[in-house]
Formats: sequence, structure tokens, C-alpha cells
Amino acid sequence: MPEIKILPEILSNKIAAGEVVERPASVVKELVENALDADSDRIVISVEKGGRALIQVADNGTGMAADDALLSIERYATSKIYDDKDLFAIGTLGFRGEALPSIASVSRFVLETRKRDADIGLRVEMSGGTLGRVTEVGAPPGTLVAVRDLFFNTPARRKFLKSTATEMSHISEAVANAAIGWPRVAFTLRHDGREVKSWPAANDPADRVADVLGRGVGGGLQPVSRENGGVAVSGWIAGPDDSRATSRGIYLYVNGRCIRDRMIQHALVAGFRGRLMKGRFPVAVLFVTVPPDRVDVNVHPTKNEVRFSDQQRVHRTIEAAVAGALMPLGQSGWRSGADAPTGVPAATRIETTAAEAPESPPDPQPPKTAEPPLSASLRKPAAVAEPAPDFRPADDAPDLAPRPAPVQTPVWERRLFRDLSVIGQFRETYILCESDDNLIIIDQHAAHERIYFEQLRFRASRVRQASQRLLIPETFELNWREAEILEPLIPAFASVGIDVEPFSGRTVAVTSLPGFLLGKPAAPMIIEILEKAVDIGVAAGIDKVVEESLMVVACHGAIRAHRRLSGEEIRHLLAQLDACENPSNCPHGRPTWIKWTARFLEKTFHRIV
Amino acid sequence: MKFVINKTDIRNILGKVQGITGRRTNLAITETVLIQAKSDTVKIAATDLETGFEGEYPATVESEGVIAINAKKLYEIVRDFPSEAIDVNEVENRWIEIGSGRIEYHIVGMNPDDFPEIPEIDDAPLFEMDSRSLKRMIEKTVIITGATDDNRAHINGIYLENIADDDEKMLKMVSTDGSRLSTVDYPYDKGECPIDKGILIPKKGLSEVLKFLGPEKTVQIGLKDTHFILKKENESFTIRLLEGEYPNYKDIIVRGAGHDIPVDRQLFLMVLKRMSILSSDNYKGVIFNFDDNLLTVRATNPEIGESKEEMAIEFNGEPVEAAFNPKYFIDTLGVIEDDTAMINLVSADKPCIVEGENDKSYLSIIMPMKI
Repeated sequence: MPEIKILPEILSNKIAAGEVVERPASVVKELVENALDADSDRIVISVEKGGRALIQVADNGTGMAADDALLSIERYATSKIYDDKDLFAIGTLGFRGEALPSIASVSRFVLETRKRDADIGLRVEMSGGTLGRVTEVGAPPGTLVAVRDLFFNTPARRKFLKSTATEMSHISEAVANAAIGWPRVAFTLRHDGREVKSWPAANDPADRVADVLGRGVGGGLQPVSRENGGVAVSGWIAGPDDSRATSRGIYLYVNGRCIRDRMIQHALVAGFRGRLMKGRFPVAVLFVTVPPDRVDVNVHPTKNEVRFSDQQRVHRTIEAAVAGALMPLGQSGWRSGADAPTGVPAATRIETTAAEAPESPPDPQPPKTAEPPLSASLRKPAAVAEPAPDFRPADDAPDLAPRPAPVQTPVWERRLFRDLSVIGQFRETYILCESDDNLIIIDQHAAHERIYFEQLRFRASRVRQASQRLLIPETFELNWREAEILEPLIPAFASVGIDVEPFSGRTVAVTSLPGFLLGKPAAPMIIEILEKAVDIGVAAGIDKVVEESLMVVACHGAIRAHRRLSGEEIRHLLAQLDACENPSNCPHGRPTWIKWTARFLEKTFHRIV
Repeated sequence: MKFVINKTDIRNILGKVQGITGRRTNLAITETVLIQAKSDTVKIAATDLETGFEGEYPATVESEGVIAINAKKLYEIVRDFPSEAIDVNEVENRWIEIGSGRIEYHIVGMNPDDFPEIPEIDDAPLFEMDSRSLKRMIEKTVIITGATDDNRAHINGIYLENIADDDEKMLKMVSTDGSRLSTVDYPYDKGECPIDKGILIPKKGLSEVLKFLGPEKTVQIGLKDTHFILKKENESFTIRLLEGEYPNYKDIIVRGAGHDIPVDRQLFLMVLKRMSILSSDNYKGVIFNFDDNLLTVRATNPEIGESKEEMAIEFNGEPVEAAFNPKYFIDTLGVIEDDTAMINLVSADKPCIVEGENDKSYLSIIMPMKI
């Protein structure tokens, strides 16, 4: 066996670089985080050739003294923590002291820095991790890091770089992540000398969110806010109709750090329960604040994963915050738009309403240009219909120009479903109604399913369902992680009528089941819930078991498509819809109604162009 | 191959095998019946690979041969055939003519060589038992079934056990769906039963057997390798056994310190049938309250409403209350033959035993619901 040696520092830095510096966007992320930690309020990012040729981040922060500057390129040198107590109470974005030496080890690296009160700055040059010239230079206060020829000495990594466009989109994403988290800092992103993004400092975080999410968020953003036992959640979410096919419209921040976290994402989606179709993701910006000692950010070198000490509480708080924010949407969204200050000023409020919709918002589906224009534009309004019933005339929609002051959505006098004037039934499936300048189309099955579901849920909440004790308990084996997580979940299972008992070792026995699960093997369902719990760290879905059984009853009991409804029946359906908590989606998340504005129809017919 | 057969004979047989040939499958040959004509009989066979049937019937055979023909189509043609004698004739290779002259149907047969083999039973030792008793045993046990997608052997199968002690010999059938369990005994003193260990027979197969158990006095049962065998006069069944453990049912049947409460079977059955009007998928339970000579049954279903019925009983023990799925009681009371049923209830969370007052050969255990 060859003898064991300590790796030379250059090599160990390269290994670290493999973890920290995955692609140009990782460099941007690390450097921007350093700039933010240095109290900058202006950060300029310049990129050439998607980051292959140059990544340069310049800030106007505190800068570094000459000694510190030289130390900063040593591994595990950081100004951000001092002892191991600090490691568990991290208030800065960086702390590992790995980024600069790692980046420097795989690029030609230049650092220029000057402290505000220093007369002269320092320029440090490195190449592939080897220190080059160190000179004094005249420089503006702050720090500039230029990274050239990334991965020039690691050809394998370089080979894995994707096209300029792809790398650039990752870089934009990294900058957007920082921009949303730090609204008071001005960000500029340049690519090949051209300004790509420019976000001026915003006083109101909502301005920045709207700026970054862009014009696509059709229904306006709902503010989210809740605090529970030290866990605070704030942010904005778009209505269910702005859903996406991927989770890329979700921006999550924990104590200011942008992260990807399955548990938080799950809680967010859980808050949307009954409003989103399966497999769809909301658009959301969520800031989660927990005391630094109750979250571990030192999970991975890239620091985009965290661990909470009280996952359950965080999950509950987020889910409740999101559900709470959506509540007014479902109930009478058009009213909330007027009464409740959303905190999102005019510029962010839907520049695109359904009226102008067909071509504007970023639709998750790729634009199908090959399609005939009529069918394409007919299909789209559904996707961009506003999340809440909002039948106000299209003319009153805010126009495209950003306005300085918050816009009060006009209070629409007749805002209930029962006030709609019914035109008739189309294909014995859709109820056509008109209100002012809008054509409202209601899916009778989806609408009645929602009504029936809410009635069932209300009645079920008053009477406990009896569960059947099993004469022969169903036993099955769990793996050790599932067995461990089951123990505290036993009361939760019992609350829905499923009695699970540890049997022996990792074997558990189901001793009673609710009626709707009887005669079906219970083990796969319980294991699925436990697997999910192992995956995201909290138990979710147990309470949903009951709701799902109600959904089946509601779906089967609801009036079907292709059934002629009398005028009386239609009126009654609309009145019942008004009584629903969330009349806009069926229990599976499908929309119950869509809106075509007169303006959209006129455009389609080329009456106006 | 050519033969003439009596319409009534073949119609009944074909009607009864539809349960075997009608099973959804991707093996088309199992949707056919195999017909063999030999000297003065035709032999009809059907199988779904689990349950195999063979029967021999008199016919006027003109020429011998074998065909495999779609069981459903043949049955439908025969069922409404206008004359008593039906000609079946393989005109040429697998082109089968039914009828002759004014009524002629031609059906494409399948290759009889593809027909799955049905295990031979000729040399297996058999046990003779009363046909009517066996029929009642199966009837009382197959009513307890699990969900269609449940593939646990102890739910899908009926456990058949031969208990041969010094003082008594009997066959015992046990059936469960996980929430309740029934046992039926068949005591015997003549003969030796070749079933030496407990076996699991699919409920599906036994339900098919049920259709064939009729006026004959006795049938013979036995075991051949991994198959349960049933033989009567000219017909026989082979059912492939299920593999799996059967729960120790004897431990479950515990006669504790419970109250033995006699109830009028018919009256109680009617009460429960009315109570189950309020049952739905999500709300199945009714609450039995046994108090001083009075049984009160209540149902609450938030989807529908509530109901209450009272019934006089002979009971003077401590009041006891328990919730049950009324369907389980209806099934059990429906197959008890005595006029009075005995209910043995210990508490709201212990199994409840239901049986006849005098006939102790049938017993049912029902688990309460938890409220």
C-alpha cells in the first residue's frame, strides 16, 4: 500500500473547488454573497462568454486591508466566524472560508480591494492557485474580483460546461436569487458588455420581487405573513392560476440565504392544497426566519441546503401562512384586491390582465407557434385567468405603464356568482354567464364537486368516523428510518382512524382502519406516508388521507358533464358556489371557472388590433 | 368431429362454466370450452388456470374429435336455440357448425392443443361427504370476501382443515376478511379424509363449485399435489391451492367472561337491514347498546342522517355498548339456521361471537368498530 500523505494545498483547494465551484453560476453566487456580507449596496456583475472568459464582481462594500486580502485567499480563512460557537449561530452568508481559494485554484484570479479609509488599494493576482504578483493600486473603495478562464487547469470540468445561453441562465438565476433576498442592494448584470439585468435599490421588498419575477405574475401577488414560536414566514405568493410545471418559480430564503429545501417546498405546496393540480408548482417568494441556533446551514459546501431543529413547526407555520394568504383569493378575491392592502405597489400589480393575456405571460408550456393563432389564443386565457373571481371590466384593468401610487382595484358592485347573468349551457357541460364585459365559463362538474366536497368536509368535521378494528392485524416490516419516524406519528395516524402499533423489532401491526380503507392493504399507504416523512423530515399527508376519501365521494356524487341543467339548477349551483371557501378550484385543483374578456374576443376577431 | 346433444343438458353446463371462462385474461384459450366427442359421450372442460372443470354428458356421436370453442358465444347460441337437439359439427379445420338446415351458425374455434392441461385426478384418494352439507359450508364462508385488489392469501382463500382426534373427527372451514371470521364444522364418523394438513382454497374457485352442487346425495373431495379436488358422478373440479400462512384462528376464538345474549334472529336481521339504509362508504357503523332487557341500535351518518331502533331482548347484565358494521351481522344472521341467535359480547374493543342457539357447527366472530 502506498504511504499516506497530506495533500498539497493546491490539490486540496482543487478538490474543494469541485464541491463549491460547479459552474460559472457558483462563482457568481459565492462572490455576490461575499459582496453582500461586506455591506455593499451596489454590486455589478460582469460576465463574458457565459462565464468561461470572465466573471467579475465589483462591490462598494467595506473592502479589505492588505493583510486580510492576502489571508482571504488562504483556505479556511474567514472574517465571518471566530470559534465553533459561531458556527451554530451564523448570521452571514459565507463562513466556511473556502470560496476564494477554491475559485482561485481553478482560474486566473485577480482581487482588488480598498478599505474606505485606506489611501491605496491592493491587487493580488493568482493563477491556478499559485500566488502571482501583489501590487498596490489605486482603486475605488470596495472589492473587485475578476475570475478569468475558469477551469483552465481542470479540462474535465471545462468540458462539462454547457452552452453560453445555459450557463448565462444559471448566472441570471443566481443573481436573481440574491436580488430578491437583498432588495436594498442595487444589482447590475452585464454579459459581453451589454447590460442584461439592472435592479435599482428598492425600498419596498415587494418592488424588487415584482421586478425580478417580471410581468408574468398575472394575478398579482398575495402577501404572506405569519409568526409562530420563533419561526417567522413572510413573502409573496402568486395565485394558483400562475402555477408552473417546475419548481423554478419558487424562491426560498432561510435567514436571508437562498436555498433549495424539499421540506419548505412541500409545505408551500401543501398550503396550496386543493388549489393546484397535481404536478404543478406555485410561484412564490418566501422568507423564513428562525433563530440562527435553530438552523444548521453548514450541511453542504454550496450552502443551499439547511437543516432545522424543529422541522414540524417550520412546516406547519409555512403551510398555515400560505393557506391563510390564499384564503381571501378563494373566498372573494375581487374584494380582497380592493380592501386588503397587498403591500405590492402598482408597478407589480398585473400589468397583464387576462384581457391582454394571450401573448404576454411566461406560460409554462412552450409557445407552440406552429398552431393556428385562433386555437392558441383560445387555449391560453385559461392558463392565465386570474386566481380569484375578478369580473371587473377589462377597461378598468391597470394599464401597462407602471404607476407610482398603489392602485385600488375598483370595487365591482356585483361580485358574486349568483349575480352573474346566465346565458345558458354549452355542450351540457359548461355554464356560460356574462358580467359586464366578461364572458364567464363555469365547468359544472368541477363547480359542483367543490360544493359537494366542502359540504362533506364540513359534516365530517362534526362527526368522528368510526374505524373498524381488525380481527387479524395487518403486519408489515419497516426499514429502520421509517420505524424511527413512525413512533411519534402514531397519534396522528390514530386521529384519522388508523391504529398502528409497534409489534416486534421493526415490524408494526395495523389494528384498526377507517371504513374507506377497509379491505385494501393498508401497508403500502402507510409506508408511502412514512417514506415522504423520511424524505422531507416532517409527516405530511396523514390528514390528507381523509380528505382524499372525501374527494372520491365528492367526485362520484357531483353532477357530471353532459347533463342538462334547468335554469333553476344553474341558479342554485351559482348560489352554492358563493358559499364555498374556495369556489375557484375543484378539490383536485382544477379551475372551476375561466373568464374571457370582451377585449380578448374583440382582439381575436380583429375588431381591434 | 360431429355429435348431437340435448339442448337443456348443454345449456345448463355452459351457463355454469361462464364464471370460469368469463374471467378477464390475456390468454384467449381460457375463454373457450374444450369439447371432446368419444363413443357416446362428450366431455366438456373449462379452466381459468386456477379452477378447472370437467364433465361428461351423453350425446349421439357421429364422428369423434376435439374442439375448443368460445364459451360465451356457444352459450348464447345454444341458450336461445329453437330445437331440443343441437348438431355440432367441425366442418373443416376449426370451422365449427352449430345447427343444421334452416339454422346454421359457424364459429371459428381455437387450436385444442393449446388448451391448458387440467390435472388428472383418477388415482387420488377421495373422501365422501354429504353434498348438501358441503354446499351449506361453502355458502356460509364465501360470503366473507376482501376487496377485489386484495391479494393476501388468507383473505382470498378459505382454510380447510381436517381435525381427527380420538373422540371426534371433523372438517372445518374458516374464512376471514381481516375484520371478521367464520368457521363451519362438518363432523363425520365414516371414512378417512385424505386432507392431512390445513389447505387454502381460493374463494373464487369454491364459488364456482357452488353452482354445480345440486341434488346428488354425496360428493368426494381430496387432494392431488397442489390441487383441491371435488368429484361428483360425472363432473369434477380441480382448484389450485393458495400458498400462504393462515393466522392462528383458534387463538382468536376466545370465549371470555362475556354475556351470552339470545336474540330473535329474524327480528334482529330486519332491524339491521333497516339500519344499514344509513350506511355509506365512509360511515358504516351502528352502535349497539345492550341495557336492561332492551337493545337500542343507533346510526349516525353526517352525509345522510340518523336513526334509532329499540328491540326487546333477554338481558340483565351490566350495560354494554359497542359499534359494529351492520353488514357483518346481516351476513352472519342470514346464514344461521336457528331461530334464535346467541351473541357473546365482552366489551367495545373485544371480538364478538355470534352463533346459533342450538346448532354450534357455525360460528362467526366480528370485530367492533372504534368510535
